[in-house]
Amino acid sequence: MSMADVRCPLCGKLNPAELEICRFCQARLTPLTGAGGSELEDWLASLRNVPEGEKDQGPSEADWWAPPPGASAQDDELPDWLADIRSQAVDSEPTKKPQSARPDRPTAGAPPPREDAEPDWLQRIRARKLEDEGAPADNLEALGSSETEEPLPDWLAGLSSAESSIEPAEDIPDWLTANKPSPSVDAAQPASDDIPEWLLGRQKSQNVEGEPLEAPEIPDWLAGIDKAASKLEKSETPTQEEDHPASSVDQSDWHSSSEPSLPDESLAPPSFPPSIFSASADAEIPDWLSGMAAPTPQESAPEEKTGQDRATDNLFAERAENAPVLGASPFEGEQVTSSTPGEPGRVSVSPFVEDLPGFEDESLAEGASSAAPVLPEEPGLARAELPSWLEAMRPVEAAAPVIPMRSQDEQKVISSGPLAGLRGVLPAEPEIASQRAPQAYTLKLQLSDTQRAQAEMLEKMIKMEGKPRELRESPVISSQQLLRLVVFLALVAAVLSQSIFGLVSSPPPVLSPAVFSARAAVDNLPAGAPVLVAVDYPAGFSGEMEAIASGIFDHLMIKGAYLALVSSQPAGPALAEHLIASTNANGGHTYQDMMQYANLGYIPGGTAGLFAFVQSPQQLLPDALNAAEDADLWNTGPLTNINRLSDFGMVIVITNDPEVARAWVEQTRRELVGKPLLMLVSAQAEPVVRPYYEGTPRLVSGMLAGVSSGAAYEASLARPGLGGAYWSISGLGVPLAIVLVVLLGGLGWTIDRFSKSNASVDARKEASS
Amino acid sequence: MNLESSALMELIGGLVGFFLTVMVFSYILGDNPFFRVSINLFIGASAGYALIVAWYSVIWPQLLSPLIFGGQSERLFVLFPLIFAGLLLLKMSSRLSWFGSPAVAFLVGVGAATAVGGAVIGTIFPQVLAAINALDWNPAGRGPGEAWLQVASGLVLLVGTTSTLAYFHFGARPGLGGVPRRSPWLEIVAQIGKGFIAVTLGATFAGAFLAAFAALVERLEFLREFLTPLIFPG
Repeated sequence: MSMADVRCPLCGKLNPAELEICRFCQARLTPLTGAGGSELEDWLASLRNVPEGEKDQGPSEADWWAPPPGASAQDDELPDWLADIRSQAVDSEPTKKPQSARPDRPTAGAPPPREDAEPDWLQRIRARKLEDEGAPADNLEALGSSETEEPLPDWLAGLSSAESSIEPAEDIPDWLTANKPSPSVDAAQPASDDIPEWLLGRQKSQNVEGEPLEAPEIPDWLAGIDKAASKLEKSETPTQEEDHPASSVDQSDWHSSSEPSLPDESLAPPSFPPSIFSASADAEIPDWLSGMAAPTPQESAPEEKTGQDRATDNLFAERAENAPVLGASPFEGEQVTSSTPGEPGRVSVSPFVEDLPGFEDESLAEGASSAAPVLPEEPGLARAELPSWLEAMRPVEAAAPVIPMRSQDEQKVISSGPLAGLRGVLPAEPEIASQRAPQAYTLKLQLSDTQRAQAEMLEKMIKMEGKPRELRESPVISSQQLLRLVVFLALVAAVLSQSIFGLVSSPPPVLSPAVFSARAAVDNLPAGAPVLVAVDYPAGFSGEMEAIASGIFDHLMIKGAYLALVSSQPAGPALAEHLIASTNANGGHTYQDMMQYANLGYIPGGTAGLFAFVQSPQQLLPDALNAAEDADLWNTGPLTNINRLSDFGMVIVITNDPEVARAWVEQTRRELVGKPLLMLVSAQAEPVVRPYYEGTPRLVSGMLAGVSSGAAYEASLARPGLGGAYWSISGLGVPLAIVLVVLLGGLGWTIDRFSKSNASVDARKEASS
Repeated sequence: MNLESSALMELIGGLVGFFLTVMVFSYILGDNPFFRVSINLFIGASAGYALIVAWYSVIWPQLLSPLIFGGQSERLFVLFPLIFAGLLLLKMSSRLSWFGSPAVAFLVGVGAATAVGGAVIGTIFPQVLAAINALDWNPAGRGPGEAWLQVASGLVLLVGTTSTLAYFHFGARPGLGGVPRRSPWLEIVAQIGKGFIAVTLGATFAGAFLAAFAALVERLEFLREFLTPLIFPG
């Protein structure tokens, strides 16, 4: 290394002196000064207003602190605190020891320390170490030459002196060794016994060039500082280190955050301006720091920072402020904070506090005021005044919400999930989200008038459902029951009077074409011809149906026809037996033998069974109810030649149901070709059956509908029968019933109309009222 | 059965009939236990009688007797209805009721086919043809005077048929105020059809009344004939 070489402050390699940029890392070797000096504020420009001759020679530290020549005119404009600092620096120059209260960083524009300003103890340590460890001659020579060569630029000189002053100590506490910043020096391999482990590790990772690294002994003051720092750290955060290893992590963070402030000069004894120490909170300063900070005129080395230093200090202060746990470091010596969450108080003991910008100063002052009592301002120490441009750059603290960190004791332990048992787990959602108050929603339902009216109506209906209704006491006999009883008694009286007394003589009904056709059909029936009679009416209609059929049955028995009785209803066979018996009783016949009639029984299956019977009567109804068990009905007797329905001489259907009549007509329509089909139906089925007789072609040969038709048929035969008797009895009752229907029907219609009109009148009255 | 026993049986039967008739007549005073007893007796007797008839008319002669005493062909013939009858019995079980569905489907299908076929051939075509022939000006076997009467009857029949069908035409378009209304001419025809329907229902009601009145007469005659010898033995 020649005297013209310049060591790069960044990579530490030598470069020719004429170069301004490092040829290895492209870092700038010479500081940029005076570019904007004219635009700077006066106070800052005054700091840089150093005579050129002094710059070249490298001003001493006292000179650096001293006011520049020719700047007396500007002294009035300087702040008092700066003036005091300068004056103290000048006064203490002859006897002070060069100590660096805080580590210097290779900053451009920083005044390089002169070699004569290097403390004696450091020079002795260096020399002794180099001699003891047998450092290479060139290194020693280089080291000596670096001290005697031409003054480097201020920043580089300061860097060189700082680099050469690295003296790792064996007694450095663990918390410091674990986070010791890597020195950016070119050092040879030092004695392994004296080099701590952390430095060994760092050295292995470094690109070692040239100079061996010294392992000097730690001076007493540094050892005392380290011990005091350890005590202070333990006293400040005892539980965190003992109970929670995570606190060491925090501490390491603190060190990492303050790493730029721990360069190689960190081992150099700090120099604090006594006025600053006295202006800080002495109450919170530990003893070791008080002892260190109590400067003698020889120890205090006021240091004035350039603008870049201040910016670096600002960054350092910000990191230190955000650090959760700050230990008291002798190398920083300005912050002692409590780790209590929400109380990031700190006591500022840094001599550079007042060099910080205003916002830093205030924040630190606030922390100090919250953590420690405010000390009275020392007389003669003026408060710093920030320039207006820097005042305007102060950030608004309220814009940066600070989430207080919780201590691990307050942090919840996860009780479930894969992180069960862990403490201090980050919440699932941001802290700010949980602090937000829930939005309030109104529960009032928006209803229109119509909806409200409907809701009220529904509510009223529901309430009415729960209320028991008053039961009206029904009279013993109601008007309706009375009317029904009166009608019944009137009809009974009419029937009985006519039956007993024969009050009214009713003429026989007129022989209708339908009855006449039926009569003609029976007349045309051959003697002894089999006649199929379907008795398809229920027992309730037996009175009417027997009255209708008694005349034609009497005629058939007179003709000697063979009656084959069937029914599609279960009760039909019994009613057929009753019909034969009634006809025998009324007509004097003796139809009892199977040779005179056969009760074939019940045809199952409805319409399908009827269709099957029409196709094959023998197969569907093989036996007769009134025949013997061993009798061969279809092979011996009148039914011998009966194989199909058309083999019967006539088919007579006696029914009260128009559907049954229609089914017989429909199913026998194709089979009964040329054979008469007579319908004996109830009066209520006549409207449906009559079209089959009235239509063309005529599907029904003759028809007897109602008692009148039976009476007419009997009248045509001139034989008494049930039809004529009932017709005679009904002679008084039927007209009476017609009158009752008209009168009572009209009365009911009138009452109904009257009640409706009254109801409408009442409704109108209610509406009008 | 001798004469005395026959008279006794007739007397017992007459008494039963008399009391049952009076009990049914008691409904004129409202629903009462006597009426309910008589109705239940009638329903029970009808069901029992229907069961006996079904056994003696269907089950034994047409199913069991051929199956037991019949030949091979008869047994095979009755096997199909026997299986279907067994499947129908499974309808009583909610879980196995679906086994009876094929039998029901068979019965419904055959019944529907028979009814439709009979209706088309025996009712629809003949009725349509009769409606057409009602307007025949020169029907066979009728004189000139009867022809006008026949045509008039045919016209009434035609109007009655068309107007009745129009009455059951419910197609309408939205009118004033969004109320659906039929066209005016259709409304007039429908009102005519309504008149025909009213006449038809009146005739049906009259027939029902006459049928009921005949039943009343028959019962009162029974009571009179039963009580007269008891009251007036001579």
